[in-house]
Parts: sequence; structure tokens; C-alpha cells
Amino acid sequence: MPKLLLEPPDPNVPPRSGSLAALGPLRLSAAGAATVLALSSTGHIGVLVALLAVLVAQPLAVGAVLLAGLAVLERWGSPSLEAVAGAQSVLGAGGVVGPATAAASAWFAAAALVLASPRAGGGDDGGGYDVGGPDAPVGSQRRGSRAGALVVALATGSTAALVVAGPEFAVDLPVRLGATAAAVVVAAVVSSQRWQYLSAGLALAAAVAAAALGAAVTTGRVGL
Amino acid sequence: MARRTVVRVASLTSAGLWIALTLLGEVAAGPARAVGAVAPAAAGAALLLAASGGPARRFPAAASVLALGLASAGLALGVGDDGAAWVVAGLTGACVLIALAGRAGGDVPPGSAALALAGAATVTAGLARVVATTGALELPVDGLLALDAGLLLVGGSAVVAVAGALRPRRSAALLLPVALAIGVPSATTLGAAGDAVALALVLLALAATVGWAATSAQFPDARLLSAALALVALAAAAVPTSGIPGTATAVEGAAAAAGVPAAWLLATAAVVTAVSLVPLAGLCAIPGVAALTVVLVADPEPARLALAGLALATVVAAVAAVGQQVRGGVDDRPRDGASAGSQPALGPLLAAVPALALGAWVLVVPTSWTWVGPVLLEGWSYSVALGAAGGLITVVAAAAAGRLALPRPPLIVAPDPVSGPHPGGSGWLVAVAGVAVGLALLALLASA
Repeated sequence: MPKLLLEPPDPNVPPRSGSLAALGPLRLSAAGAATVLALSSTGHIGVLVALLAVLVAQPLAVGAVLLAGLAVLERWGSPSLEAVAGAQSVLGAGGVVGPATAAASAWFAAAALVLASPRAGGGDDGGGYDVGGPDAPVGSQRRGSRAGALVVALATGSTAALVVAGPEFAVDLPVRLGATAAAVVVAAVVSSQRWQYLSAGLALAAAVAAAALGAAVTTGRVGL
Repeated sequence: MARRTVVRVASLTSAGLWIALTLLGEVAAGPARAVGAVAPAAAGAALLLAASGGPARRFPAAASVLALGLASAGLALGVGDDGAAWVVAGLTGACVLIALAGRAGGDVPPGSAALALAGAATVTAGLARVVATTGALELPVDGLLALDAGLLLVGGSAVVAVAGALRPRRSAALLLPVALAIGVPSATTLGAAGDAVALALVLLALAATVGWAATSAQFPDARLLSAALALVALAAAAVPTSGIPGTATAVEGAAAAAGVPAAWLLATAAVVTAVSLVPLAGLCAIPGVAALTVVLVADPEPARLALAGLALATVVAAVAAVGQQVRGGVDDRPRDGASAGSQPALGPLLAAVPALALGAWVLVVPTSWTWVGPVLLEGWSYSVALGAAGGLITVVAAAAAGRLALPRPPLIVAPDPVSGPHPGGSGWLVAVAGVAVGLALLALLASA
């Protein structure tokens, strides 16, 4: 059944804060850029965090991403993604090795990143992907929404996997690949849900916990 | 209109010369030296005045140009014997001239002028305490001052910087970079008290951000972001290091204190945002925030880690509050009753273009800004390049697959008139080919 608009939408209605209604080239490119950095475990964590912040956009989720990045910095003591992956290649996955506090910090940070995955809208709610215009069949709109969720999940999921189980691919391919796949699936599920504000709030709470646990380790209040 | 044009041309010329001196590195002309933050601060002041074009009446216009000259001269003479006196004299003279111009019908209201004068008076009082405690008109080589002297200098600089940040497109805006050029080196002299001062500055910025966003009937605009970045810049400079002395002269940028490079980057972002007033200009603060976070985590103490979290929260809150303006629609009405039609848009544009270019340069290659000192951002430029390549591949692939609508570029080459346009349907092939080429380029880049 073709869509029938009953009244023209208010032209001044802004997109919902934090929704993916405004996901367009900027956030799509941020997702792609973050995915490349996370999968290659290359570069500075500040750049990766900034790209994820642009992607998630919603203030609570941005705070979660920043605090998760801070937690990773506290946990490994280096802003270099190569150092983070290299340390896990030598010592083992971040979510397993080290004191329990440090491992818990890694898990909370990964959870924060996954829960911060923004909703990839599509179709009537003004999703950011043009799937053929207003006359496109509903099926193609759903495909657009799934594609959007996948793109978002690749960025946040691969980063979460880097944090909790991120040895270099060449060193431990099964672990890295498995963790990445699992994290992407969970992030895709989160991204496809409608309770965005709840997930962003949970993400922030997890990130605060991650940063606090990381601080406890790095200040020596929890013995190594 | 002609007076504004003269002010604008003079300011842009001055900005161009100072930017050239920044690129040349250390330059000396008699007692005046363009070293460290001198040239960038003077360039920032000139760009801010160029963005405003100055007031329309004769005396206020002349006073605004003279204020720029005094402030710039003070900065240039500040590197040397009795350097602090020259810088403070330049700042105070500029504040007095702007206040007098405001009384004579200039573009600065009495409240802003009074705030700037109060800040200048506080800085002058701090300088007096410096003389009383050290006997010299310059900041001590060992980096430590009496606490009251340091607090007066930093507090006064913060007041003047905020007064300038909250009056963009007005003559008072030129005070922002000058105040930061005094405040950042002064903050390094606080010693162990710097942690508390930094925390106070960040809390003030956060409270002001939340308060403005919560109580203002209008959406917060880029002034909020600029002021918040200025306060966080001073906080970054105040973070003490373990036993490393601070600056030797008033405006020497390459200080050994660890937070100073981040402070200069944040100060640059504050000035760029104040010139352009575009919220996205705040993105150039990312390297500064990242550098500050790395510095704080490198010497972890609970207070410093809390400061890192608060600094991140402040910047996020400011960006979110200003972003509401973008999502909610821009209110084009002038906020102080001035006529919006009296100033042509060309002036701010001519100032904003170089400012945004400098901001983009800071964002992409912050490590090339040697005047800020050793910034802990190794691998930043490579990450930006790699990320940009990945982002571009993603967008091109999505557009080629018909999943993303990009603005249609203007036609610059006509299609073949003989064979006509090719039929569609090859979007997926193009996407696959594009991704393959992109991955090959990424592999080449990663192997470099």
C-alpha cells in the first residue's frame, strides 16, 4: 500500500536528538573510518574515540564513548592502538589477563561501546539512507535499516572487540575474529532496537564503571 | 562602512603577517621577538578584529586598531627582559582603549568593558605581586611563584579571556588570545596548587555550560564553546608536572610543563571557534583534549583522572549544548540589539576562512605545530589519514550502491554526444571495484 501522508510534516521539526535520522555522509564516513582503525589496530585512540563520538552523536552515548576511551588509556597506559593490540598479543586478551579489576574495566568498556551503538533508522522515521526515495517499497527500506545497523555495528563492535579481546589478527586470528564477530552481532542487535535512550544511559553507566575501575588499577589502589 | 573596511583590511594584513611569522619560526627585530605563542596569539587577535570589522565611528574604529597594535606589541616585547610588564601593559592598554571606545559609541557594551577592565586590573595586581616577591618584572625561571601572584595572573587572564570570548564580532574579542597568551605561561607557575586550580577552572566551565544551556531562552551558541575551551586551556596549563620547571618568560610557548602543549592547542581551538562561530569549528579542539587526557593519565592520581573525566564532560556538554542550536534551527536575530544588516558578511568570511584552515591543520596534523611544544600525539596524523581513507571508501561504496544520496556535483564534462548515456544497473560493480581499489590503497598505506 503506498504511503499516504495526511499532513505535511513541520519543516522546522529537528531530528530527534541522538537518533539516526540525520545519519548521512558524515556519520557514515565516521563509521567506516572507525572500523578501519579498529580492525587494523592502528593509530591514536583519540582519533578512534572522536570518530565514534561523531557516529553515536547522542550526548549520553558520546560521554560513554569518551569514558570508554579513557578507560582503555588507563588500562594500557598508551594511546597507541598498536600498543593495545600488541600488549594483548603478548599477554593475552584484555578481558582475561591482569588483575580482575583491569579485566572488569575492559569488559565494562566493551559493553559501553556496544551499548552506545546508535539506532540506524530507515524509511518513515527519516533514516539516513536513501533507499530509492519515498516511493521505494517497504522491503528495501528494511534492507536499508539492516545495512545501517550493520555499518554502525561494525564500527562499535570492532572497537569493543579490540578492547576486550584484541590481539593482532596475525598473532591470534580465531580469538580476534571470534570476538569481533560476537561484538558486531550484539552491537547490531542494540542498533536495531528502539530503546536508544535506555541503551545510551546504560552505556554511560558502564563507561563510568570502566573508567573508575581503570583508575583504580592505574593509581595503584588495586595491586597489580 | 569605509572605516570598517579600513579596520578589516588592516586587521587581515596584520593577521597575514603574523601567520607568516609563525611559519618562519623564531624571528627577532630589536627587542621584539616572535617566538613561541607570540605570533599565533597576535594573529588570532587580528583575525578576531577582522571578523568584526570594528565599530563604525571614527574614534572607536581607531581605538580598536590601536588596541590591536598595543596588544601585539606587548606580546612581541614580552619575550625578553621585563617581558611580563610589556605583555601586561599591552593587555591593559587594549582593555582601556576598548572601554573608552565603548563609551564613545563603540561596539562593546559597558558590562563587557567593565569585565575586561576588571580582569586587566587583576592581571596587573598579579604582576605587582610578582615584583614584590621576586623583584623582577618577569616570571621566574624555576617556574614557581607565590601562590597569590599566580592566582591573580591566571584569574585575571581567565576573566579577560571569557570577556573576549563572549563578545565575538566585536572589538573586545581580540582580548581572548592575548589573555590566553598571558594565562597559559602564568598557570605553569602554580606548582602543586595547579591541580586544584585546574579542577576549579574546569568545574567553572562545566557549571557555566550547564547553567547557560538550562536557563537560557535561546540556544547556546558558539560563544559558549569558545569560552569553555579557553577555561579548559588554562586548566590544562595549570596541571603541574613532577619536578619539571615552568616557563622562563611571559609568553614563551615551548614550555617544559606537560600540559602546556595541550593548552596551546585548546587555546587555538577557542580562537578559531570565536572567529568562525560555527559549532563544527570545535572539532579542532579534539587534538588538544586528547593531548590533555594523555598527559593526565600518564601521571595518574585520583584528582587528575577525575580532572580528565571532567574536562571531557565539559567539552561534550559544550558541544551538545551548541549542537542544539544547529538541530533546533539558528536564531538569526541579533542578540544585543545591533542591526544585523550594517555589517557585510564578507568581513567575517575573510577572517573565518584562514581561521578554519588553521583549525583543520590543527585537527589533521597537530604535531606539526612546533610552537606549542612536545605534544603527545604520536601517530595522530597517520590515524587521520587512514581513517579518512576508510571513511571515503565507505561513503563512495554506499553511494555507488544506491544506499546513500549525495549532492549531485555540477556538470563539468558533457556526456558523449554520439553514444549517449550508458544504461544504469552497474552500481554494484562500481561499488565492488571501488572497495577493492580502496582496500589495496589501504594495504599500501599500512605497509608504509
